[in-house]
Amino acid sequence: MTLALLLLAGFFLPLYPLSVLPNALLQGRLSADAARRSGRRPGPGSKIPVLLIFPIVGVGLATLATHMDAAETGLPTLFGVWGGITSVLYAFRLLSAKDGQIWISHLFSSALALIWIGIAYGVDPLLPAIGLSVSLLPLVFMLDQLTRRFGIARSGLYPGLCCRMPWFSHLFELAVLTAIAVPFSPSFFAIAALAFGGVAADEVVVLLPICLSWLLWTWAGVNLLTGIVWGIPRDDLTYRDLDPKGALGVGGGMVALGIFGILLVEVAL
Amino acid sequence: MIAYAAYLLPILGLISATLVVLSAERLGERISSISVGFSLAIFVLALVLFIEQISTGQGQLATLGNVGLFSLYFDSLSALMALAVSTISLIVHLYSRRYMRDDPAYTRFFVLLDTINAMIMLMVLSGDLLTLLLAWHSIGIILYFLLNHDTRREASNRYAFWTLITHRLGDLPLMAAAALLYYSYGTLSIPALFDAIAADPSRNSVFGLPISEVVGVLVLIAAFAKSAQFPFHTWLPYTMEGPTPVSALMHAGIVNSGGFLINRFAPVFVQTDSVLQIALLIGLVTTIMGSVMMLMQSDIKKALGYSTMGQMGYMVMECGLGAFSLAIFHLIAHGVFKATLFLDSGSLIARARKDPNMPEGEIYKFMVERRAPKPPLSWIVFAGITIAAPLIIVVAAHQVVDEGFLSHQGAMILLLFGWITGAQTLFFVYKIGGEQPFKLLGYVILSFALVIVTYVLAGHTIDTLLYPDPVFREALYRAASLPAPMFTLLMLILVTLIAAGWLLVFWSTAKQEPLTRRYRDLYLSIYALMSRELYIADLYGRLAGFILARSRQLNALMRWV
Repeated sequence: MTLALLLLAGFFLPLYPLSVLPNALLQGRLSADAARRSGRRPGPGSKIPVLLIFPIVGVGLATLATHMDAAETGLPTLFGVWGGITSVLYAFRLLSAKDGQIWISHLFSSALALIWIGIAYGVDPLLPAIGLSVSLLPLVFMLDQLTRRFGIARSGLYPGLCCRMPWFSHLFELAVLTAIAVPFSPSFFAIAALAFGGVAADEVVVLLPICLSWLLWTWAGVNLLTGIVWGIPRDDLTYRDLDPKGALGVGGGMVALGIFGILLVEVAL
Repeated sequence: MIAYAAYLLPILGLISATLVVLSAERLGERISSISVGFSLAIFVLALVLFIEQISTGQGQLATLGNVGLFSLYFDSLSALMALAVSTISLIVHLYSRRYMRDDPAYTRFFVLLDTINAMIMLMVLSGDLLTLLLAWHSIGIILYFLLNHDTRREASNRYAFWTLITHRLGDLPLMAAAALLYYSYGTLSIPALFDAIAADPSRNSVFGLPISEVVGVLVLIAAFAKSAQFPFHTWLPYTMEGPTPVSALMHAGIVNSGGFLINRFAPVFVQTDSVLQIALLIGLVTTIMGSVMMLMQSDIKKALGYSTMGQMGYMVMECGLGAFSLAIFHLIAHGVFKATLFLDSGSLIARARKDPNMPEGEIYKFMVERRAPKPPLSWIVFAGITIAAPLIIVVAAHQVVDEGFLSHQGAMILLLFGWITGAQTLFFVYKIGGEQPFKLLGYVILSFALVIVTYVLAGHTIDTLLYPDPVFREALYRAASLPAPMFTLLMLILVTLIAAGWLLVFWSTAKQEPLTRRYRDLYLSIYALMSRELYIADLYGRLAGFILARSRQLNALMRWV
């Protein structure tokens, strides 16, 4: 029963190959045919439930399983190692992802797989899971804005946006930084909570995947910025920046996320 | 109370950045007045707090009530560093005001400059490990955006990426060190942690190794990445793509973070047996590489970049020898002179383009006309002066200021470097000859003596300021020591090699047969190797390409889900 629950949780807190399901959902592959038939472009609304509900369900199932693991089979530790490997695998694959949907789905899988380390080594996983998943929301929103403007959110197709869409670019930079867990984002504090809380049990198994994945996220984040924000803009495209009021609103939301991150670490540590 | 006043140092920087953003549309380029004004206020406040700290002498912790994060620890080290950072920041702000005029990203530049200064302040003042991590990570991120100032230029983007990824490589060991310390001692507060380590230093961590040794190595790696130490050095010389004020700030301020971090963790290093020797080795390699590469440059800014690398190597080496406070003195002195050199280099290049106007003195004849003068004295006599004079000056200066200093192994190695530096200068006098070689020789010896005496005096003052407890100072030197027989043997070999080397150089110069001609093939091989920086940057480039290709292959194989 414990094994079944943990495996089921692996769909919600991605564990490769179970992670294929949330990945396909986030990439819109499952709804692509329906969208094509109706002629409507799926908005960010379809991704938000996956980002917010999946981690909570996954944490719930995994917590239930660990409580049931009275015989202490060592299964959670095994799943912790599996989670670490999944995280590094997706972080590695993230490096070459150029499409926005794939980028978000791979980062989601890489980040949320780290929660297994917390589950295996006695860290309360709920707040870090929420911290990691809400940090992706601004980027989902910004990528949707790109899709609205250019038909596709893809790195390398329309470089140099900072010259043509400064408000958008500033927010896009912030959204990417928030997603890759730089300081003051909830994901930074979530990572800190996992590392500081889990290190007591096994230094190498806890710190190695966290550090490796984090490093690869940074690299991938810079790749994304390079292909979208920096460079020489194309002259054959029409650019439409965010209006300053809307941009301030989104920026305010990111500040609120930062405050949430600080609260998160205060509760977790 | 002063620890709470110290909160203003980073906060004022952040307020300045916010005001600049909000007033940019209304004030245009006049926003720089806001930034400079706040920078001046921060400098004045840092100065007042530094004076106050000297009079009280005790370190103080300030916290925000029950919030564990954002606590500040204000002691002599943070007070001195805050003053140094605010001074360099003020110089850079004043210079940027005019230098950056008409730049389309004028506002963004000042916002980022203010923010990075606030983060550096937060780093030097941080009273808990998490705040230190936040500030340490943030510096790398903001620096990435500062270096990407010219958003259209591919080279700016590429080197900004190199910088960020190297800094990130250093961020991770620091996080691991913080996590291990938290796990071992159950607190994030830096002063409480150091008290706990002093009370019980023998706790073990990874693979049963002592926690102090593991944390010491991790902190060193973090410091190496920020201070561009071998093999993390590749980012520093290439960051000239950013505006000159950013280069100045980076070379005078940010690269010094490594020295600060090692000093901050001195209570950990004092418990180690074989960690500081790593710092000595890496520092030595970096010093030699940086100095040799500096000599090979024809571009003044690149030469300054490699010089920073060499100086940072020297600073880390000082830590590796147990002379922690000397490293702080070094980083402050280096920060001030390097900021001035960088800021001056911009105008120098502009002036030289208009009018080369090189004064036709002895150096001109030697460097430009390549006229080899007749040596002023027998080479053996001059070699004797070259070897003896600097040695007498460095030993006498240390003996007068701090008699016990020479009993430390680290001090002996430092003297060795002082000796080599002095001898190098005197050799140059012999080489360029000139009409009044003895007058020149007298000037050089006098300047050298002045520099050494000032260095020793200032170093000794900072030593007693930062580490007032002589027992602790002694313990730091002990932690950096090698077994006595090994050290004696090492010293004998080094002294023999150096003295023989000088004799050989003098002899070949007197015979008008440079060693570079005699061993031409070897010289060219070394030149090629060093000009490619031992191919380390190429290796990183290849490795990055390989990783990206494998990532693409794997994604294709897994059909991108």
